[in-house]
Parts: sequence; structure tokens; C-alpha cells
Amino acid sequence: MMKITQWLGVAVLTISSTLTMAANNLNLDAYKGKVVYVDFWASWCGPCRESFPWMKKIQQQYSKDGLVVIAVNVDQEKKLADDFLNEFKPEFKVLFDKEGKLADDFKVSSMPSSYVIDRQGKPRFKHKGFHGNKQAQYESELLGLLNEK
Amino acid sequence: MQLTINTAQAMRAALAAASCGLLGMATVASADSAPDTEKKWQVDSALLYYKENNGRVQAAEPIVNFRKDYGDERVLNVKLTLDSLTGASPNGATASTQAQTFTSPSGGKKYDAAVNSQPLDSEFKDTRAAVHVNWEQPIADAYKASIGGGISNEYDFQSASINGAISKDLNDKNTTLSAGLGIELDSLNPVGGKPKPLSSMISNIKEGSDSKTVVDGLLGITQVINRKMIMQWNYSLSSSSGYHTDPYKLLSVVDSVTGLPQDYFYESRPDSRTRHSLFWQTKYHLTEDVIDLSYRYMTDDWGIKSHTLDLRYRFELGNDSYLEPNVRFYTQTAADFYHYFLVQGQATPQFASADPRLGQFDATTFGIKYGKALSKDSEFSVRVEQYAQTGNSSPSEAIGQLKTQNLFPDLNALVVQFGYSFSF
Amino acid sequence: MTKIVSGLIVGLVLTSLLGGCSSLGVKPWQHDLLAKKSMQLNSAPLDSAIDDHIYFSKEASSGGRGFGGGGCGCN
Repeated sequence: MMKITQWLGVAVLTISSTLTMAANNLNLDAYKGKVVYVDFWASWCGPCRESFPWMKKIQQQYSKDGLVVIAVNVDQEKKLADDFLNEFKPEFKVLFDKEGKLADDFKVSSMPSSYVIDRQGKPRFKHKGFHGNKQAQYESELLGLLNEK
Repeated sequence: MQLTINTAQAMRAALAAASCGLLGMATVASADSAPDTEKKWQVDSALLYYKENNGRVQAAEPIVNFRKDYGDERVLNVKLTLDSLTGASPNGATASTQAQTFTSPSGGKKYDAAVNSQPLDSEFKDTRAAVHVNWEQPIADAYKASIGGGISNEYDFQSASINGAISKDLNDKNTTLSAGLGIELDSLNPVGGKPKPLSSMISNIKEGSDSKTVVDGLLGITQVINRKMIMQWNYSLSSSSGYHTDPYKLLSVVDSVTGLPQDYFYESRPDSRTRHSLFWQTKYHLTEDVIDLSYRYMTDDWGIKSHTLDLRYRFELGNDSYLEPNVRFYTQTAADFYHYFLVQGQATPQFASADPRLGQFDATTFGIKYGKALSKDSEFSVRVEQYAQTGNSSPSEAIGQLKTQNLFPDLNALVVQFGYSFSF
Repeated sequence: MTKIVSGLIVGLVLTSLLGGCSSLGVKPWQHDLLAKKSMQLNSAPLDSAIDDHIYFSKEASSGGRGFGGGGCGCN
């Protein structure tokens, strides 16, 4: 439990201190009132291929309820990321973080990593990796946060 | 028939390599080829042709590996190998200025060796079939485990093995510690029975069958050095006990002055062997190409020490194809009980073998491989290698006519392999 | 005596590797090249199995190769 609190503390500080709105930066303040699902992915990451169809599904299902999916790419070669996006054709927002600055801020410790941020802008869940058999759990977490007002 | 034992033992190594290699196979696929939601089978197949010089061994070997990823890093591998050998193999006797006749292991037939040429055991055909299964899955945070088993069968040799391994990731998965253990049980039923060690070929004293147990242990560290380089260090210990002798191999017993063969003794090897190996490998990614360099040192209690250096360079040609030349240098010292021949009148040693596999020699391999991806899930490849083994053709202990003979003829072998991978 | 010494050297090397290992490596999102099939330590397992088989039947040494590590490090 101590670890989660520490992580939440650091994350809140670092995320809220990101001020600029440059193309590859992420200003979570702009998404206050929404539930934000931030996912770090790469073309070379096997489980990411599993996560994309699921992320497309939740975005289609819950965007009307206030869910925003933001996929942050960490590929070193943009062409590989573009090929991946051409294959999956996601409709959610994609950011490019080649230098890994955002990944560092979020303390990404595995690939993929996803962070769920509630309507108040507080980080509430962190997922290390993507596991097919945990999809139901991931969805119920989102529903819980979406139901908070 | 002699080669059968060689192949049998070779199969043991193939099984061991397979079991360790199979874990490696899982790692290969989990890297960038993702498990699709339909959970496909990935098939890797190869067809090998092997041919030695001078009418020696020829082999054809199809090998197929089926791999299925069940998600969450749970992977099943099933490997089938079929091996078909023909040809002749040195029986251990030296060449002579006189023609020689040998009794075949079954005791029935006789075969000849021409003057001044290395005696080769008469033609034989042998087929071996082997299957190996391996399952791996994560067992706790940062721990992965695998378990596997296999069996192999040929008419005079059966083998069964089980193996297990565990690995732990540290330092953000930059370091991986691994440990593996394998046990193999071999059962040998030599044609015509097992010869009495160091007995005369003509006396034909044979007795039943025998067995051998091998325990292999491995400890390894894999370390990511930087974005472009990875290294691995392994220590392996192999301890085998039981029947190690090749029941089909002989030694010439020559006259102490003329060097002409007077008799032939069946060989005899110790009933235990302990081997230590240290292995280091690195892979380095250049702009497009990849360099693969590895070194292995082996030492055992039979007195054999060996060094192996292997270098591969993969040229990415574009169009999803590559060309990979490789070179391998190998050298080994002879076993303590290795003899080019025995001398009549001298005390017979407790153990003796003239099997070139246990002798002192250098070997080089030059090879090249071409591969091309035919689609996202399939690849075709072809590989050609030339293997050359050279020993001491005129050791100082040669006497009489043996001074004019080549006591360790070169071995040259050509390897051609076609590979095809696909998924369904 | 030499066996003990070489054993100690191996142990020393392995321990220092473990100690020094914590400073080497890459961030989890920098495994792009390491994830490639060509960068796996045993990238052509059938080739290795066949080579091991051939060399085992003609030489006195065998094996040595390990397993585990490298790759994309995912999940």
C-alpha cells in the first residue's frame, strides 16, 4: 500500500506540472471532468497488439460517458509506429514520445503500461502489461470511475 | 552401426539442445510477433542434408517444431525429428600396407579395408525418430518456468529425458538469471550384443545390453548491455554414468617393429564422465545488421579440453531478406585414453579408444545462410556449410608401416539445409 | 588445485557481473531493437539444434547455450 501512495504522490506532482501544450506533451488539466486512460505502447510490443482492439472497444463504448483514451507511442522509428497504426486504425488520440520523456514522468516500468486517471485528475490505477484474462477487471475499474461524478 | 551410437549420443545432445533451445524458441516469438486473438500455431520446419567425403556418412533429416502461444506467456512447443543415415564410418582401426578384413558387429558378415586406406565399417542404414515437448509459463512475478520431456528411438538405442528450467528477471528485466536441470536415460541394445571391453574382435565375446544416465545442470545470466547489445554467460555441468563405450569401435593392435596389425581389440571407455562448460555470447545491433559472437570452453575428466569460437554476421538486404555468413573455429585435445593404435606385447591399458571424436584435432566451419520473409508470418531460408576437421596424420608414436599412413584422415562434410516457417 | 581456482574465478566473475549488472541496461520502453527476432540469443533454434546434433556426433563437446532473457521484456 505504501508503494501505491508514493507512486500516486509522485505521479500527481509530475503530471500536474506538465504545462506546455506542445504536440507530444500531455496536459491532463485539459481533460478534467473526464476519465482518462493513458496507455504507453510500441510497435514491437506483442501484448500491445492485444490491447489495441480492446482500447478501441472501450473508447467506442464509453466515450459518450466521458472516457478519453490517449495512446502514447515510444517507438524509435516512426515508420514502425505508423505501420502499426495503419493496421489497427484507432480513433483515439495518439501521442509520440520517442525520447521517452512522458514515459519517464509516468515511471513506465513495463511495456505496455496504462494509467487510469479519474474526473478530478487523480491517477487511480496502474496496469503493468496487458493481460487478456484481466479485461473484465480493467472494464469494471473504468465503470467505477465513470460512475463517479 | 557404429554411427548409431554416435547418433544416439548426438540425439541426446539434440534433445538437450532442444530442451534448452525450446525455451529460447519461446523467447524468440514473444519478442515481436504477437499472439493473435485466434491463437495460431507457428510451424518451423527444416530439411537437412549432410554428406561426408570418401563415402562416409550421409544423412537426411526433416525436423519440425510446432509452437502455440496461449496468451499471458504460456507457450507449448512440440518438436519432431526424423533422422535417416547411410554410409560408412571409421571403425577405429588404422590403415595398413596390407589388406585387412573385419567382422561386422553382428558377427556374421565380414568387410574389407583396401590397402593404405582408413578402414570404414560396412554400409548400414539407420533411422531415428524423436519427439520432444516443452511447456513454459510465468509462475510468479518476474519468474518463468518450463518443463519438458522427450523420447527417441532407433533400433539399437532408446532414450527418454525430462528437463526443467526456471528464470528470474531483475533490474527492469535487464538481467535474467536462469537455472536448468535435465535428466536423460539411455538404453543400448548393440547389434550382436555388447562386446567384452578390450577383447579381441575375433573372439566375439558378446553380452547383452546396457544403459547410461546423464544429468545436466545449467546456470546462466543474460544481461542487456545497452539498446543495441545483449550478452549471456552460462556455466554447465554434465555428469554421466553407465555405458559410454562405442560397442562397434576397435583399436588396431600392431607389431612393435613393423607396425602391421596383428589383432583388433574392441574399445573401452570409463563408466563415468564429468564435463564443465563455460559459454559466453553477445549480439550487437549495428545500424541494420547484427553481429553474433560466442565462445565456449569445455573441460572434462577424460582429459579433453576444447575451445569453440563462433561468429555470425547478418546483413539485412532489404525486401525482408538477409544474408548471414558464419565462421566457426574449434579445437580439442585428446582424451587421456585415446590411442591411435595399441602395440602388441605392451600392457593393455584399462581404457582405450581410437574414435576420432575423442582425438586431438582442429575443425573449421564456413557457412552462409540466406533468408527471406514471404509474408508477415512466414519465412524461407537456405543454409550451406562446409565442415573440415584435421588432426595429426603422423603422430610421433607411429612405428613401422604406420609412419607411412595417415593416422587421422581429414573429415570434410557438406551441410545443406532448407527452412520454412509459417503459421496456421 | 586448478579446479578450485577456476571455480573461484567463475564465481567471482558471476558475482561481479550480478553486482555490476544493476548499472547496465535500458529503460523498459527502449527494447525496440532487442525485441527483434534477429536479436534473440537463439534466433534460429532449428539451426542451432541441427548444428549441435552434427557437432555432437563429430566432436567431444556439446551444448553450453542457455536460454531466457532479452526480447521485448513485455508484460
